[in-house]
Amino acid sequence: MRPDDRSYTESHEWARLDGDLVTVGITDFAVQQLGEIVFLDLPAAGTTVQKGESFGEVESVKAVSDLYAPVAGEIVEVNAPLTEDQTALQEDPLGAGWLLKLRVADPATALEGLLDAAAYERHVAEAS
Amino acid sequence: MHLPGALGPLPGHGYKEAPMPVPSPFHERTAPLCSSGLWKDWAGWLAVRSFDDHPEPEYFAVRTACGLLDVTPLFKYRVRGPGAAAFLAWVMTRDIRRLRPGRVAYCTWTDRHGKMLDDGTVMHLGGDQYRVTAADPAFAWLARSARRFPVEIEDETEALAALALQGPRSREVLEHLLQEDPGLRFFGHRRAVLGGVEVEITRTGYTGDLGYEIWIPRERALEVWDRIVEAGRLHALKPFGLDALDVLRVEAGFVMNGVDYWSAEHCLIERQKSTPFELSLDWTVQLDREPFQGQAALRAEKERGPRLRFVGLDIDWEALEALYDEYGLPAALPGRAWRDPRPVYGARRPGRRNQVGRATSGAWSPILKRNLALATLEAAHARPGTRLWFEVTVEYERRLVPCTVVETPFFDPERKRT
Repeated sequence: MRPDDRSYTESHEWARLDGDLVTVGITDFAVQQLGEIVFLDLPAAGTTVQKGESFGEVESVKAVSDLYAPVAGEIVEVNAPLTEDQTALQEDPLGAGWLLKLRVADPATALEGLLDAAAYERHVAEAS
Repeated sequence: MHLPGALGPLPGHGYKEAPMPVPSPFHERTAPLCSSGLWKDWAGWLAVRSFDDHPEPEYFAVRTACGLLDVTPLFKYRVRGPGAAAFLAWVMTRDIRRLRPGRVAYCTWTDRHGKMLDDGTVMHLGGDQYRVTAADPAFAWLARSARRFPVEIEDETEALAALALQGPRSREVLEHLLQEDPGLRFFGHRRAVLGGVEVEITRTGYTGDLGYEIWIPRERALEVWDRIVEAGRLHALKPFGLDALDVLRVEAGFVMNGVDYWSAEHCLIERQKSTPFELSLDWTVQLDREPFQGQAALRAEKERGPRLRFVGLDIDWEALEALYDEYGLPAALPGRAWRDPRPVYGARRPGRRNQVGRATSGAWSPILKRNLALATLEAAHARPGTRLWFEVTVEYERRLVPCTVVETPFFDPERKRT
């Protein structure tokens, strides 16, 4: 079971709320499906993204995939070292391999409509 | 009386239909080393099967140190022009528009019915330049498919010699030659000057190990061979041939065109054709994008689920030994990889011979000490862990030994990717 301190999307991103900041990453399932990650493109801090909008891309030997924002907000921090070296993303996608921190307008409703850990678990079971 | 054909083939026949294989640009170096005299015809080129009588030392060189293989016979096509990316995205099942410069993609390509034509790689050489490598000749098909795209296609098979430098120490050999870390990630491409010769290097191969392929102007081929062999002395480098490669690629779980599947262009009937899904190459098919050749058929197949799947088989060693023991024989292991197809039967009633698929190639893995095969099975029988029956012929009698469906690659070292 994946951590239930956060929400998930069907496109395999995760989002964890802390005050008015949401930390965003991709799941271990996504990393496992991608295989060896060779390239990561992230936006600059200060950019605003809409929910469901592509904010970057991750490339592995198997595919190039878009990264989709699970929530809308202003990007306040980017895990920049990851764009040089993706080891942390490869090995700890739910922890040290986080991608972005977003400031959301309304923390109370920010994660509405996303999957909880149990629902994501079922989604992964269907996908694999 | 003159008997046409008695002294040689008829003009316009013989030589044209079955030409003698031609020597590769490395022949001057490989021929004196080939003490076994074991050669074969690889796509019209004379290729070494094994330098010594038995390929095992070459196999172990690749798995424990490094090996050097002449891969010039791969078909190579340069695709260039403003429409190159869109054209390749149209013919390949992968979206080549998203391939960045300096990256290589393993690809499959199909006809418009989604049936396999070939598999190979596409390299993005920078700008609007790409290279396609293929097992089968692809020029006519590429040219035909390119009509509505502003691209030029050039067959560079003859102009470009190629070497595969493979094995755990291959990086050190390159580092020694380049006087710097080759700096290539898995499936990366770069240019380099190697012993004064401008070459291209990709971190690719067909061995499932750490390794590189080096693309060399034909006229400079021997210089590069000599420099690599010289640098390789410190790293136990050994030239290897196709027999060792056959075992290595089975361990890596790679499909082979003409062995594990057939190009739709060579198939006589529908059931001889395959699809990327039937070869378990789902990840090479990117359906949700602009139209590409075979897209509709592949989408429909994905929705209903493929009929067949490509899997690994682990053949029970003790059962095989017991079977041979019935005849008073030790279990016979082929010294080389095999590629004559064998039936695979379902688990429930082996006596009834309910065939569920075929194993198309296999090998004893010297490093894993397992008897391995690659098989195409009905999807319902292809789940890992499924117990099935593999046909072996002992003393002209068809017998069955149990086997287990396992995931491929059988052999997958970290060093291949890192």
